[in-house]
Amino acid sequence: MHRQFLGIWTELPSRVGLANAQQFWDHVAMTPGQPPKVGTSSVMKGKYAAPKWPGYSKTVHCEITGAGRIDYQFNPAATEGRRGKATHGVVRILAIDLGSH
Amino acid sequence: MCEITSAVFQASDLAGAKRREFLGAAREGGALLRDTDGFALTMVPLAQLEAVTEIAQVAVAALLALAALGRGSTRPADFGQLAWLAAFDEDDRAEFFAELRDALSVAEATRDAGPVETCLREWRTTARALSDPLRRAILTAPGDDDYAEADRPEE
Repeated sequence: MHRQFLGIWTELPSRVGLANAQQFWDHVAMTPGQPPKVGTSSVMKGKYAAPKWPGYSKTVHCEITGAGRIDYQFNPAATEGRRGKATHGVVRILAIDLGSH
Repeated sequence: MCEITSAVFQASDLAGAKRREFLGAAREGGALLRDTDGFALTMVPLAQLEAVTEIAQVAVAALLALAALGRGSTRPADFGQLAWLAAFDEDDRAEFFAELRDALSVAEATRDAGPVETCLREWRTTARALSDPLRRAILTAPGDDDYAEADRPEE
């Protein structure tokens, strides 16, 4: 999670509803490269959507129920984070927008 | 000239046994009806008409935006319904127009506006994200390590 959005992440359950926030978490934890069962997602366009780190995906834009928009990149075979060197999936949340369109 | 119908009927067919045939041809993709004075009318599925209309509107919008760019303008107002294109630089706009050309080509061939709608939605979504200063700063910056672990949301 980008540090700029840690505060908003904490507020997420109260802003979009706990079930919607958990649904998003479960989606990116299990199937970050697929469309979500609830809400919509699309791969962002242009040069700024390119992977920011080796092994990562292009930026995915996810619209979650409850008026939340979250941009993330994921690496299905990362060796970083608190799970250590064993290969595992990592999702980096770049930005969260809870404002109305 | 574009051919959108093949079966040809007369006005009198609508009152006779050919009425079902006329409707069947229309549902299959298009039926041409000649009125008593020779005036041509056509019946096509509504979804097909809407798709063709949308494809034409988007193609015109793209041409107008390209004309504005050709004049050196990057003002959102000059891009008409593609005003959000102003959020992108020249390289990204070129990529957008290349993708839109492909989408229009497929949509025209299949009479299904889906590829065009998807193309526009994805680019418009990206433009909206870039219009927010904080999100733009992060989305356009190179990858850094300013990230922290987060947990599953709980009450």
